[in-house]
Amino acid sequence: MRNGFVRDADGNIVWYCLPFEVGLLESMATQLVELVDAPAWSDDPLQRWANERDAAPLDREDPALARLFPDASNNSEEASEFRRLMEAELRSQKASDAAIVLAAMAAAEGRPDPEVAIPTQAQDAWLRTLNAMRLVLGARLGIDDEQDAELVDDLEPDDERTPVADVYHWIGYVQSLLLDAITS
Amino acid sequence: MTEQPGGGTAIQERVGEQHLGQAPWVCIVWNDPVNTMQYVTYVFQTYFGFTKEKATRLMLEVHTEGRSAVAMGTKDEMERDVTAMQAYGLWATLEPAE
Repeated sequence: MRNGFVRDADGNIVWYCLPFEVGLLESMATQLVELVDAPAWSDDPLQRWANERDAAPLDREDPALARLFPDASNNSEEASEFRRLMEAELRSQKASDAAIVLAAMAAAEGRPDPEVAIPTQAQDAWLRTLNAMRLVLGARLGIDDEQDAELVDDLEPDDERTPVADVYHWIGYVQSLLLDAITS
Repeated sequence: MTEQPGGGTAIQERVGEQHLGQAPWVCIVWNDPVNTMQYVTYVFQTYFGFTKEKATRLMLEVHTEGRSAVAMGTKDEMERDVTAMQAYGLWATLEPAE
Protein backbone atom coordinates (compact mmCIF):
# COMPACT_ATOMS: atom_id res chain seq x y z
CA MET A 1 0.00 0.00 0.00
CA ARG A 2 1.26 3.46 -0.89
CA ASN A 3 1.73 5.91 1.90
CA GLY A 4 2.63 9.56 2.23
CA PHE A 5 2.65 12.55 -0.10
CA VAL A 6 3.44 12.03 -3.79
CA ARG A 7 4.00 15.00 -6.09
CA ASP A 8 3.52 14.78 -9.85
CA ALA A 9 5.41 16.72 -12.54
CA ASP A 10 2.84 19.56 -12.46
CA GLY A 11 3.24 20.04 -8.70
CA ASN A 12 -0.09 18.49 -7.76
CA ILE A 13 0.11 16.26 -4.71
CA VAL A 14 -1.76 13.15 -3.68
CA TRP A 15 -1.76 12.16 -0.03
CA TYR A 16 -2.11 8.42 0.46
CA CYS A 17 -3.32 8.16 4.04
CA LEU A 18 -5.32 6.04 6.46
CA PRO A 19 -9.07 6.24 7.10
CA PHE A 20 -8.55 7.37 10.70
CA GLU A 21 -6.37 10.23 9.46
CA VAL A 22 -9.18 11.44 7.23
CA GLY A 23 -11.59 11.41 10.17
CA LEU A 24 -9.16 13.15 12.51
CA LEU A 25 -8.33 15.93 10.07
CA GLU A 26 -12.00 16.39 9.22
CA SER A 27 -12.85 16.75 12.88
CA MET A 28 -10.00 19.22 13.48
CA ALA A 29 -10.96 21.32 10.45
CA THR A 30 -14.60 21.42 11.54
CA GLN A 31 -13.56 22.63 15.00
CA LEU A 32 -11.33 25.28 13.44
CA VAL A 33 -14.19 26.65 11.31
CA GLU A 34 -16.38 26.85 14.43
CA LEU A 35 -13.62 28.53 16.42
CA VAL A 36 -12.90 31.35 13.95
CA ASP A 37 -16.69 31.81 13.43
CA ALA A 38 -16.23 33.87 10.27
CA PRO A 39 -18.95 36.30 9.21
CA ALA A 40 -21.27 34.71 6.64
CA TRP A 41 -20.14 35.26 3.04
CA SER A 42 -22.41 37.10 0.63
CA ASP A 43 -21.94 38.03 -3.03
CA ASP A 44 -23.64 41.32 -2.18
CA PRO A 45 -20.95 43.69 -0.80
CA LEU A 46 -23.47 45.59 1.36
CA GLN A 47 -24.79 42.39 2.89
CA ARG A 48 -21.22 41.22 3.43
CA TRP A 49 -20.40 44.48 5.20
CA ALA A 50 -23.50 44.06 7.40
CA ASN A 51 -22.50 40.47 8.22
CA GLU A 52 -19.01 41.63 9.20
CA ARG A 53 -20.44 44.46 11.30
CA ASP A 54 -22.84 42.09 13.10
CA ALA A 55 -20.35 39.23 13.63
CA ALA A 56 -19.81 38.28 17.26
CA PRO A 57 -16.46 39.61 18.52
CA LEU A 58 -13.74 37.03 19.11
CA ASP A 59 -13.23 35.90 22.69
CA ARG A 60 -9.66 37.06 23.24
CA GLU A 61 -9.59 35.42 26.68
CA ASP A 62 -9.38 32.12 24.79
CA PRO A 63 -5.62 31.55 24.36
CA ALA A 64 -6.17 29.73 21.04
CA LEU A 65 -8.03 32.71 19.54
CA ALA A 66 -5.52 35.11 21.06
CA ARG A 67 -2.77 33.19 19.23
CA LEU A 68 -4.63 32.89 15.91
CA PHE A 69 -5.45 36.62 15.95
CA PRO A 70 -2.61 38.32 17.86
CA ASP A 71 -2.53 42.06 18.53
CA ALA A 72 -0.87 43.61 15.49
CA SER A 73 0.76 46.34 17.58
CA ASN A 74 1.84 46.93 21.16
CA ASN A 75 0.09 50.28 20.84
CA SER A 76 -3.52 49.52 21.84
CA GLU A 77 -5.02 52.14 19.51
CA GLU A 78 -3.05 50.74 16.56
CA ALA A 79 -4.05 47.18 17.54
CA SER A 80 -7.78 48.02 17.62
CA GLU A 81 -7.52 49.96 14.35
CA PHE A 82 -5.92 46.89 12.73
CA ARG A 83 -8.69 44.67 14.11
CA ARG A 84 -11.34 47.00 12.72
CA LEU A 85 -9.74 46.94 9.27
CA MET A 86 -8.49 43.38 8.98
CA GLU A 87 -10.09 40.98 11.48
CA ALA A 88 -13.14 40.03 9.39
CA GLU A 89 -10.87 39.31 6.42
CA LEU A 90 -8.55 37.17 8.56
CA ARG A 91 -11.45 35.20 10.02
CA SER A 92 -12.86 34.61 6.53
CA GLN A 93 -9.44 33.60 5.19
CA LYS A 94 -8.91 31.01 7.92
CA ALA A 95 -12.44 29.64 7.44
CA SER A 96 -12.09 29.38 3.65
CA ASP A 97 -8.66 27.69 4.02
CA ALA A 98 -10.19 25.13 6.40
CA ALA A 99 -13.14 24.63 4.02
CA ILE A 100 -10.69 23.57 1.28
CA VAL A 101 -9.27 20.89 3.59
CA LEU A 102 -12.77 19.83 4.64
CA ALA A 103 -13.88 19.39 1.02
CA ALA A 104 -10.86 17.20 0.29
CA MET A 105 -11.57 15.12 3.40
CA ALA A 106 -15.24 14.71 2.46
CA ALA A 107 -14.17 13.41 -0.98
CA ALA A 108 -11.84 10.85 0.63
CA GLU A 109 -14.14 9.77 3.44
CA GLY A 110 -15.35 6.20 3.63
CA ARG A 111 -12.66 4.76 1.37
CA PRO A 112 -10.48 1.92 2.68
CA ASP A 113 -7.39 3.42 0.99
CA PRO A 114 -8.00 7.16 0.90
CA GLU A 115 -6.28 9.22 -1.77
CA VAL A 116 -6.52 12.93 -0.98
CA ALA A 117 -5.90 15.28 -3.92
CA ILE A 118 -4.02 18.48 -3.01
CA PRO A 119 -3.70 20.52 -6.25
CA THR A 120 -1.06 23.25 -6.40
CA GLN A 121 -3.55 26.09 -5.86
CA ALA A 122 -4.81 24.45 -2.64
CA GLN A 123 -1.41 23.77 -1.08
CA ASP A 124 -0.99 27.04 0.82
CA ALA A 125 -4.52 26.73 2.22
CA TRP A 126 -3.56 23.25 3.44
CA LEU A 127 -0.34 24.48 5.05
CA ARG A 128 -2.11 27.43 6.71
CA THR A 129 -4.87 25.17 8.03
CA LEU A 130 -2.50 22.52 9.40
CA ASN A 131 -0.53 25.35 11.01
CA ALA A 132 -3.65 26.88 12.56
CA MET A 133 -4.53 23.46 14.03
CA ARG A 134 -1.06 23.26 15.57
CA LEU A 135 -1.40 26.76 17.03
CA VAL A 136 -4.78 25.92 18.56
CA LEU A 137 -3.54 22.64 20.05
CA GLY A 138 -0.31 24.34 21.19
CA ALA A 139 -2.42 26.92 23.03
CA ARG A 140 -4.62 24.19 24.57
CA LEU A 141 -1.43 22.43 25.74
CA GLY A 142 -0.22 25.69 27.32
CA ILE A 143 2.85 26.04 25.09
CA ASP A 144 4.04 29.61 25.69
CA ASP A 145 7.79 29.21 25.26
CA GLU A 146 10.46 26.79 24.04
CA GLN A 147 10.65 25.09 27.46
CA ASP A 148 6.91 24.33 27.38
CA ALA A 149 7.35 22.92 23.87
CA GLU A 150 10.11 20.58 25.07
CA LEU A 151 7.98 19.42 28.01
CA VAL A 152 5.12 18.57 25.61
CA ASP A 153 7.60 16.55 23.53
CA ASP A 154 8.39 14.38 26.58
CA LEU A 155 5.08 13.79 28.35
CA GLU A 156 4.55 10.55 30.26
CA PRO A 157 2.07 8.14 28.60
CA ASP A 158 -0.39 8.53 31.50
CA ASP A 159 -0.27 12.35 31.43
CA GLU A 160 -3.76 13.74 30.77
CA ARG A 161 -2.30 15.98 28.03
CA THR A 162 -0.80 13.06 26.09
CA PRO A 163 -3.77 12.42 23.75
CA VAL A 164 -3.83 16.09 22.69
CA ALA A 165 -0.03 16.17 22.41
CA ASP A 166 -0.18 13.11 20.13
CA VAL A 167 -2.51 14.93 17.73
CA TYR A 168 -0.33 18.05 17.95
CA HIS A 169 2.76 16.02 16.99
CA TRP A 170 0.92 14.15 14.25
CA ILE A 171 -0.27 17.37 12.60
CA GLY A 172 3.28 18.73 12.76
CA TYR A 173 4.49 15.54 11.08
CA VAL A 174 1.86 15.79 8.32
CA GLN A 175 2.70 19.46 7.75
CA SER A 176 6.40 18.68 7.49
CA LEU A 177 5.80 15.84 4.98
CA LEU A 178 3.57 18.12 2.89
CA LEU A 179 6.22 20.86 2.95
CA ASP A 180 8.85 18.31 1.90
CA ALA A 181 6.65 17.27 -1.02
CA ILE A 182 5.89 20.87 -2.07
CA THR A 183 9.53 21.96 -2.00
CA SER A 184 11.02 18.74 -3.43
CA MET B 1 2.44 32.16 -5.58
CA THR B 2 -1.23 32.76 -4.99
CA GLU B 3 -1.12 36.03 -3.09
CA GLN B 4 0.69 39.23 -3.83
CA PRO B 5 1.30 41.87 -1.16
CA GLY B 6 -1.09 44.79 -1.37
CA GLY B 7 -3.25 44.07 -4.40
CA GLY B 8 -6.62 45.58 -5.20
CA THR B 9 -7.96 48.79 -3.79
CA ALA B 10 -5.08 49.52 -1.43
CA ILE B 11 -2.93 50.90 -4.25
CA GLN B 12 -4.82 54.18 -4.51
CA GLU B 13 -4.46 54.80 -0.77
CA ARG B 14 -0.79 53.90 -0.92
CA VAL B 15 -0.05 56.50 -3.57
CA GLY B 16 -1.78 59.07 -1.37
CA GLU B 17 0.35 58.18 1.62
CA GLN B 18 3.56 58.34 -0.31
CA HIS B 19 2.52 61.69 -1.70
CA LEU B 20 2.20 63.01 1.84
CA GLY B 21 5.70 61.75 2.54
CA GLN B 22 4.75 59.65 5.57
CA ALA B 23 7.50 57.87 7.46
CA PRO B 24 7.95 54.18 6.62
CA TRP B 25 6.62 51.30 8.70
CA VAL B 26 7.97 47.79 9.17
CA CYS B 27 6.40 44.34 9.48
CA ILE B 28 7.91 42.45 12.42
CA VAL B 29 7.76 38.66 12.81
CA TRP B 30 8.25 37.40 16.37
CA ASN B 31 9.66 34.10 17.59
CA ASP B 32 7.14 31.56 18.83
CA PRO B 33 7.57 28.00 20.12
CA VAL B 34 5.05 26.27 17.82
CA ASN B 35 5.80 27.32 14.23
CA THR B 36 8.59 25.24 12.73
CA MET B 37 11.72 26.65 11.12
CA GLN B 38 10.86 24.82 7.90
CA TYR B 39 7.41 26.41 7.73
CA VAL B 40 8.53 29.96 8.57
CA THR B 41 11.24 29.76 5.88
CA TYR B 42 8.69 28.51 3.35
CA VAL B 43 6.28 31.38 4.19
CA PHE B 44 9.02 34.02 3.72
CA GLN B 45 9.96 32.49 0.37
CA THR B 46 6.40 32.07 -0.86
CA TYR B 47 4.85 35.36 0.21
CA PHE B 48 7.75 37.79 -0.13
CA GLY B 49 9.48 35.92 -2.97
CA PHE B 50 12.77 35.83 -1.03
CA THR B 51 15.51 33.40 -2.03
CA LYS B 52 15.91 30.36 0.19
CA GLU B 53 19.11 31.92 1.59
CA LYS B 54 17.46 35.21 2.52
CA ALA B 55 14.36 33.48 3.91
CA THR B 56 16.54 31.20 6.03
CA ARG B 57 18.62 34.13 7.31
CA LEU B 58 15.47 36.04 8.39
CA MET B 59 13.97 32.90 9.96
CA LEU B 60 17.17 32.37 11.98
CA GLU B 61 17.10 36.03 13.04
CA VAL B 62 13.54 35.52 14.33
CA HIS B 63 14.65 32.36 16.13
CA THR B 64 17.81 33.72 17.77
CA GLU B 65 17.00 37.45 18.21
CA GLY B 66 13.31 36.92 19.00
CA ARG B 67 12.14 39.17 16.14
CA SER B 68 13.00 40.31 12.65
CA ALA B 69 11.80 43.18 10.45
CA VAL B 70 10.91 41.29 7.28
CA ALA B 71 9.36 44.10 5.22
CA MET B 72 9.29 47.90 5.06
CA GLY B 73 6.87 50.25 3.30
CA THR B 74 3.84 52.46 3.83
CA LYS B 75 1.51 51.73 6.73
CA ASP B 76 -1.10 50.34 4.30
CA GLU B 77 1.46 47.99 2.77
CA MET B 78 2.59 46.80 6.19
CA GLU B 79 -1.03 46.22 7.32
CA ARG B 80 -1.39 44.06 4.23
CA ASP B 81 1.81 42.13 4.99
CA VAL B 82 0.94 41.66 8.68
CA THR B 83 -2.50 40.35 7.66
CA ALA B 84 -0.86 37.86 5.29
CA MET B 85 1.66 36.73 7.94
CA GLN B 86 -1.16 36.27 10.48
CA ALA B 87 -3.17 34.33 7.89
CA TYR B 88 -0.18 31.96 7.69
CA GLY B 89 -0.19 31.79 11.51
CA LEU B 90 3.01 33.75 12.05
CA TRP B 91 3.02 36.14 15.00
CA ALA B 92 3.38 39.45 13.14
CA THR B 93 3.03 43.10 14.16
CA LEU B 94 3.62 46.46 12.53
CA GLU B 95 5.41 49.53 13.88
CA PRO B 96 6.99 52.73 12.59
CA ALA B 97 10.48 52.12 11.18
CA GLU B 98 13.24 53.38 13.46
